[in-house]
Amino acid sequence: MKKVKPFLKYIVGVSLLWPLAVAGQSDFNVARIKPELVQDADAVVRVDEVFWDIKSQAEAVRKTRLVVTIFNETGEEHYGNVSVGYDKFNKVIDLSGALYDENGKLVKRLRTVDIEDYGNGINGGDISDGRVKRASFGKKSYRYPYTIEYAHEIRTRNMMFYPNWTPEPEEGCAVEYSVFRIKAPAGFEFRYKEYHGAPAVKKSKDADGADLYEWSATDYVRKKSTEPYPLPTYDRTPMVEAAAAEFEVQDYRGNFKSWEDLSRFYYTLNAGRDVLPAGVQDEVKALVKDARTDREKIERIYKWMQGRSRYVSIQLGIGGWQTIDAATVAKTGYGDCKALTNFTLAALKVAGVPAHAALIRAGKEARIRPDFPMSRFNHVIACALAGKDTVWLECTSPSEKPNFMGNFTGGRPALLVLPTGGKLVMTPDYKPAQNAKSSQVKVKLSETGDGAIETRAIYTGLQHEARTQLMQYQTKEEQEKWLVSHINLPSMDLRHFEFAEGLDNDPSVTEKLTLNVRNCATKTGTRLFIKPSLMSRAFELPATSERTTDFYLPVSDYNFTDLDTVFYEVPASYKLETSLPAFQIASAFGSYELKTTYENNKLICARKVVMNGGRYGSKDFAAWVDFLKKIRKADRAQVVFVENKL
Amino acid sequence: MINSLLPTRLSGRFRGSVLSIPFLFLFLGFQAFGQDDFKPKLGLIDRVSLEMTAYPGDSTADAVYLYDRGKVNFTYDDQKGLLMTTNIWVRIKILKESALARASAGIPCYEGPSYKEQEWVEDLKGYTYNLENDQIVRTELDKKTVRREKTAESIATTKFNLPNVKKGSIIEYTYSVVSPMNVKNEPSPWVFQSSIPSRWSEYNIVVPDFLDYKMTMGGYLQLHINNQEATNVSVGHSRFDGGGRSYRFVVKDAPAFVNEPYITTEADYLSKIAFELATVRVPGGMVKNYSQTWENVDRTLDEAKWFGGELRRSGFLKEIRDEIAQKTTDPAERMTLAYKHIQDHMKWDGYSGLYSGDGIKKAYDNRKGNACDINLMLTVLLRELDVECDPVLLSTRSHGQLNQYIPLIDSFNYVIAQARVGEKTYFLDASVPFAKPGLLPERTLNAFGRLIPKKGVGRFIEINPADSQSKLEMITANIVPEDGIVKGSYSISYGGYEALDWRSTYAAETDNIFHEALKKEVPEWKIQNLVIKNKAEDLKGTVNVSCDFELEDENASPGVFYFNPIMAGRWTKNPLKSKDRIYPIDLGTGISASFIGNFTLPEGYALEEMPKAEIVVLPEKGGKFSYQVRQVGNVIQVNTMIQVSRTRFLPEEYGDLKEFFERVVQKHAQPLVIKKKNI
Repeated sequence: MKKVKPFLKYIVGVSLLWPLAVAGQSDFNVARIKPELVQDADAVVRVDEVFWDIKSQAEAVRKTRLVVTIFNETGEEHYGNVSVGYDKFNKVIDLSGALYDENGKLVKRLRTVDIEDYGNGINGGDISDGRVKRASFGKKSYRYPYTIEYAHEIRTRNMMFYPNWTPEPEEGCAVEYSVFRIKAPAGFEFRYKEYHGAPAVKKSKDADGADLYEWSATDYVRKKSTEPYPLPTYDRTPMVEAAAAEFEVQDYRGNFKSWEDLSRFYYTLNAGRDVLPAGVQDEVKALVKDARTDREKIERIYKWMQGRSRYVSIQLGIGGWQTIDAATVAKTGYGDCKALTNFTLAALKVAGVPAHAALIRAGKEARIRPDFPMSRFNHVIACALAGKDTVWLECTSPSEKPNFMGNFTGGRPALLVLPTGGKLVMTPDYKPAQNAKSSQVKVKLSETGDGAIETRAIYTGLQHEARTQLMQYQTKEEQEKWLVSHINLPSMDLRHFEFAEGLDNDPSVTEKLTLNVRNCATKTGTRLFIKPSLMSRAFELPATSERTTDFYLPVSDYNFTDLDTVFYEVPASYKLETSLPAFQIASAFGSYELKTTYENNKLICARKVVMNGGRYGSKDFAAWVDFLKKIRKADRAQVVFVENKL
Repeated sequence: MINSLLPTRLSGRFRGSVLSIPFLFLFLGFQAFGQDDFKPKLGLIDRVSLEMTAYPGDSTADAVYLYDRGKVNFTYDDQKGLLMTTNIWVRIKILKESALARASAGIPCYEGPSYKEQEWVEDLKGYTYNLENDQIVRTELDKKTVRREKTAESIATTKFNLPNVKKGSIIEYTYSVVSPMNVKNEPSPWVFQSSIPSRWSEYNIVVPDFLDYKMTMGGYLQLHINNQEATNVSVGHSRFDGGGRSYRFVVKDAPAFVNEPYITTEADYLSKIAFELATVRVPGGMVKNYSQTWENVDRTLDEAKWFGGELRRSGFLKEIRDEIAQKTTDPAERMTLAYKHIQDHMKWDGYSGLYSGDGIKKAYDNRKGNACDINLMLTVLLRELDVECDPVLLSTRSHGQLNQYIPLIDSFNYVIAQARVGEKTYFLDASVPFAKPGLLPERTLNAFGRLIPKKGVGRFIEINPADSQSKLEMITANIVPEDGIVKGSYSISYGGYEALDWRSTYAAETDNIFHEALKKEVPEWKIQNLVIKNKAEDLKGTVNVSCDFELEDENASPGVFYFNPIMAGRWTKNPLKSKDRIYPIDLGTGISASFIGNFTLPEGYALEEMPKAEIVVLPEKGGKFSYQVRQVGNVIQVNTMIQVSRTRFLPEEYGDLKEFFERVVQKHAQPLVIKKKNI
């Protein structure tokens, strides 16, 4: 056995004995893998085992062992290295590995030089206790196929988080054997739940009388999928979630049996941190003195907070769950989502407005599982009450309007944090009618088909977000570049553009463009071909119309209404040759309508698209593709004019 | 699989993105303009700057450097030897919320294994200035909030956040990084501009006479102050004290740097000053020469263990050498076989490099190495096979343009090989799978390289792409106007860089991966009988794809059928979007794209209207576009070709190039009008 120098504070031992030996799984000869698993696989997971050894409410050890046969570069990208996160509460006790050749013969063991250790972030904007160890055999290139084995062991004293498990490998890979074991002192209570076809639990007793729980799967193949509109992972992947009933972390005791319990725990963790210095309290009082309603107080305080604070990610202390106190934020003017929310709540409290923190899983299309209380949140927002109405506040934004949640936190459950235990409530949802683009495009065509274009478009709801970001975060040059690459025209000369934020409570952006477009209409010989759907949103068609699984049109992209009207001024020297296109397409996914009229050399084309995102059954897929085809066809329609022959 | 046990961190949303952006390389003489000077005092701010709400020079800037200064000097420490201290002092006005993140900073320091190999931070101070109730309020950075973290192997980062920063604030901070000369022997380049405008960017350096640095200026901004004078230097040790030179460079009112497409790398266009150590002449000690002339560079390389030394190691290649030598005596065949062997045997680790990492033998054993490892071993192998071959040093596109007038070893970051067989020369880079001999990857196409011959001095040679992005598409089809059906066969040949791209993406995959990709491209087509030939068997040949297709064209009506004959290879968008151009255009490789269509009409139909033929040429044989539609009997023949042979264009030529593509897009949009004959 090789002697290894201590690695930082932790000893990383290279052990010859693997933490867990699984019968019949020690021969890694590639020839032993079943052909049906090898076929087209980038990698085959030979063994994937996770052992969660609960010692008490305050401590557990997690042992992980992963053995993978790698067939090519893609497989190597998926499984070639392993990253192990750790922090004050999670110590890496062991991290080891080995590499075997095609015949299962040991070629190399992982050494300390193969392990990198690094922290998060490059500046003050990202500070945390969390660190990562990354192990890899990447210094050398090995002949495919070869088998790689990693094992690590972590001792944790943060029992707010249990591991979860899925037998599913990476796309285009297969699994021979995957197992999740939980060992707990006899009678120890914790919670678990299986999702989406995860195997059922097998319970038994260990020799020492402890309870054993086991979930396992064998011969699991995951084909490479080119399927568009996949269901979100949380709606599709077989998964076993596990979480604490009662637990301890640092000096805190809590339990996660229900959302109310979780809410109460978070409240306790952060209680008493919402006291503002006297001077700041006076400032808040003065700020809301003549406000007539609670809503007005909320709006004033929110704006005031936005003007004096900036977001930085500082995640220290209990798993990044305990906030910096309000007095410190008052002094420094910065904090993370917890700290800025806590600060805002402290100010609302001074103003006498009831308000609560709310835990949420933020991100485009991100969700928690409402039926299984556990801490899978990654963000905190504020929920203030103006009479019976709720006003949601994103406290990390220096410019968002009150109650606008958008793609990041809108339309999903959030857990209100209350001393008595809060429940899940839904944040504001964004329906197709709210996410609207309404545009008017005026085109003056020359005889050769060149167009002088003026447009005015108003974007609301989720559709305003990209443009608001552009407006607030980019310079004029960058805005112009973004527009030029996003405007749906073959080529253009963007003469002028401007954005203006709407003044209403519901955020909106008005965009005005002046463009010169050569060959705006296509001239061929004596004819002029004009597109009614000029500058409209284009739709892509999937490569296949067959489908065996349900599909999902992300609501963040597919809940919208587009109203585009194009007014063409056609030169008098042309006359209409074809009939005017008119389309009306209805489906379960939305509707499309194109109307054209022509009078006094004015061609008016009105196009309306309404889309309803969401989950649809596999049998509806053909109808969806058909809907898209019809829309694409309608969008390709041209109105043909021919020179007047005098 | 298991998700991380660690909690997902609670995160916020609006991180302002601090993007640095790209420029053009012009060479500047050292000149001074005007006399006005700016020497601020740390911790003291002027009211006017605080009252500013928009930067007059650029009303959309989200922040502006009011002052940005680097100052370098040298001292001597009995324990650690010569130390280089870099003092940084910045003052930034925050104009928009998007710039708030500039108040978070990090200072990375190298942490070597011994105390003599560690950099450290000194004298960190920070202030935020705000105007509150018309009063200037200064908040100091609290030292207790400064955090030092080991962020990576050998890197410790000092992280800090300035307090009370909001829109309108001015932030100011200063610190020094002390670097032992055995860790870092030359100052980092100083860049006078960034993604935000800069009012005053200044660089000071005091160089003792015993150190000789080569300084090079790049970019296109003029120096406002350019002073140098002799001075006495006290480094803290009598042996080293003596004469020196003090330099001061200032760029005033630098605009924000704006990126453009089709450039090599932003570093080529940024205004900056860079340093390379030429000589160390320790008083009473040895004189150590670093490269000074190209001949010196050549010699340095030849003498270096990691370069010239590696070229003299060949034992480990004996086996494969003998194998190839036995197969053939023809030098061209030998070259092809040796190149293919290294290509197959070696995996590129993704790094460029002028140095062989752990030596080419080790790389060969590991089957993995940087570009230098791979191409040096190729050179060695070819030389062993009596094929004339030399390494060629170059600077990759992302590393920036090579300046032939300034001999610097650091100008290079990549090595390729050049083989000569008879009259012909081939550039070889075996780090690229699927590239035929002679075809260099795009990253290496950066105008020049320096060839280092086995004996004698090196020379600069031009590096031009041996091939273009070449694609030929053909369609032969029947048109059925009544139903709007077009049905026939479609073929694509990928050559040159198109073939390389295709092979890099699909050669190792099953055919259906490409099939899917093709279907995505033309989703309305029904594609059948897809055949792919020469995926990678003969890299010199094209990749050939053919299939049958059928589609329903929507613009069919009983009497008239409007039909765009450019069914494949149609340019629907002009790749050049912006109105005008500041920097030269560098396309990297040329373009050669053709489409040939043959469409058969049924009896009773005739072409009512067809687009006019067109030929457009770029000046100086830079390129040619042709388009022609003809009717021969009941067959419509369409022929279009886009050829761009030059790869570099001046900003003044941008208009021509844009117009050239404009005409392509215009012609490619034109439909034919097919009408039923009135009988």
